[in-house]
Amino acid sequence: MDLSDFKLKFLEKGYQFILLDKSGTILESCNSLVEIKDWYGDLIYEIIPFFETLRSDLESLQKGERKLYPCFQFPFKERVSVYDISIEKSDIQNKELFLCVLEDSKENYEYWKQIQQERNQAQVDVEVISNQAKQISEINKEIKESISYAKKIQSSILPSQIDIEAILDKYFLLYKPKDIVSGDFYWVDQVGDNKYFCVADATGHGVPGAFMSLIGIFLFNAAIDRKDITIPAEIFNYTRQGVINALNQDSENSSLLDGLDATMCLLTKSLELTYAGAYSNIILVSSNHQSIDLHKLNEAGELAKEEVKPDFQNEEKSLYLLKGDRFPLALQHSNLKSFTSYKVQLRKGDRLFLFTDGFRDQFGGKFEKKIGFKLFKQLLLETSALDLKSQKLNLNIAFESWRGRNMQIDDVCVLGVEV
Amino acid sequence: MSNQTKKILLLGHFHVGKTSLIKRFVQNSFSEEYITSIGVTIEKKTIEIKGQNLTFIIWDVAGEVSIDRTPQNYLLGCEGIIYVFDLSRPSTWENLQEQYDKIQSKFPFEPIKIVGNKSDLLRKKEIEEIISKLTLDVDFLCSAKTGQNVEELFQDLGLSML
Repeated sequence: MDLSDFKLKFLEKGYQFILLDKSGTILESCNSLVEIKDWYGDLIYEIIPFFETLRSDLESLQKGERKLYPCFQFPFKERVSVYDISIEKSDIQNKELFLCVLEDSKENYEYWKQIQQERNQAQVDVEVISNQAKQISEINKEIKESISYAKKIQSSILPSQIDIEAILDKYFLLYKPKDIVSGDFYWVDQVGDNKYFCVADATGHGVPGAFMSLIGIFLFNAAIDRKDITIPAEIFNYTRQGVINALNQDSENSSLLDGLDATMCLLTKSLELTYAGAYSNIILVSSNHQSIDLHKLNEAGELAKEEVKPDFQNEEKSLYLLKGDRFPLALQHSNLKSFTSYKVQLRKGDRLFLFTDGFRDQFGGKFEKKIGFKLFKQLLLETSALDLKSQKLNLNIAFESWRGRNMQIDDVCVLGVEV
Repeated sequence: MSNQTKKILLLGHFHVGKTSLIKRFVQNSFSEEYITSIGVTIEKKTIEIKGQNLTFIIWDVAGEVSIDRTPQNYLLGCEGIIYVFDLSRPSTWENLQEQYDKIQSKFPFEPIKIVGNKSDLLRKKEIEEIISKLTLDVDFLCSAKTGQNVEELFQDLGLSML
């Protein structure tokens, strides 16, 4: 076969080729590699770096041996194409020559490259996302550990069961924080025969709520233990000022409008109750079915009598709503009104309920609605015939069955006290 | 002045910046765009080391998670290797020791440089943490983006090959 026959044979098959002698001199090429013609007689090793690196391999090739180099990007005369290259040592025209066949695979490789690019990018994206998830999970773990420790601090500051039992003979506490730490809190104290108990709802829940609860507890303790303030409304006036000072709420630049909603009770040995409410009310359940007298200490310091009729009744008991003031323990507007203390004479066996809004605001039930204040009052009335432990249990069951699979939306705190 | 030509290979996972390192070395340029390499591309650059001209013929081999998946003919005649990993992607350095051992078994006498690329994406403390997890010494921390240590890497490899 002479060179022209040889060329024809390859061109018919659509291949491109370069024919080299033993020293790498370019002898022939197909017509489509027309530029190579300019270098006929030149050493391929000096023209194309790819071959330059293969020189020793090619020189050691045995007759009939073939080397394959797939997917070789061949920059040639400012045009990049992709070739699968095979190099074989053959006898052509009775000479030992190197036949280099180049199969143009640019089209296939462009398609492959696109797929590969998408695959690689997707894998990198997955790695990035999975790393981010890992980082988030580590951060989450750290935060949870911090909050769990914060819970220990909050628990040590809240009155313990022993503290409460030392002051309140008969009570139950339904305390269900939404998160690990709670913005709802309870507080008890005793000065002589006078028993103080309080339930408060700090703005928000979780960590911000817990911070506020610490401020609240600190201020209640300070009012009674250090300032000798004994009247609930005055304790609230002191606490409110303390919150305003602590959060710089009276500063023009303050953006912290947080505060507390709370009810504070003072119960004497003779079962006279004095209470104050900051955006909160108290519920009294009594076997007395008549209206009760509520004595209000007005701003002039005089007692004005109000009649409170039962809100709900059943055969055994009546439920009364003892209202508080309509402002919180925080700076609401510049003209701060003093809190009001109310007095009411209780009877033995009466039950008082101090509560935050978490119970009644829980979504659920058949129509995904809030429990609501009306149903909450009915529940308190219906369960008040039970002993305190059973009442707590029943309230909790009612709450959980209403909630169902819904998330708890807020902290819950209900303190029931039997006098 | 004597002249020498050496074939070197850049190996490592895909998307670790092999092509970018070569581009920075050969053309002193960088692109943020990621373009997957397919097969092999060859670049050439001559540098002077100790009074000698050394021409690198750099085989930019498409990234694979393992050297086993690289066509073995690509490796023939190679006289130096740069193994590149991406400091910001753990998957590219978690099997570093295994890959190094495989490369070394194929090239027991050739210099192999271990390179952590994309150092510009991490803080010093993060890089130190990664390095402390590796069982191998990293020869160079590079950034193809900023050019940090790229020239030094090739100089050092060249020196090892002379």
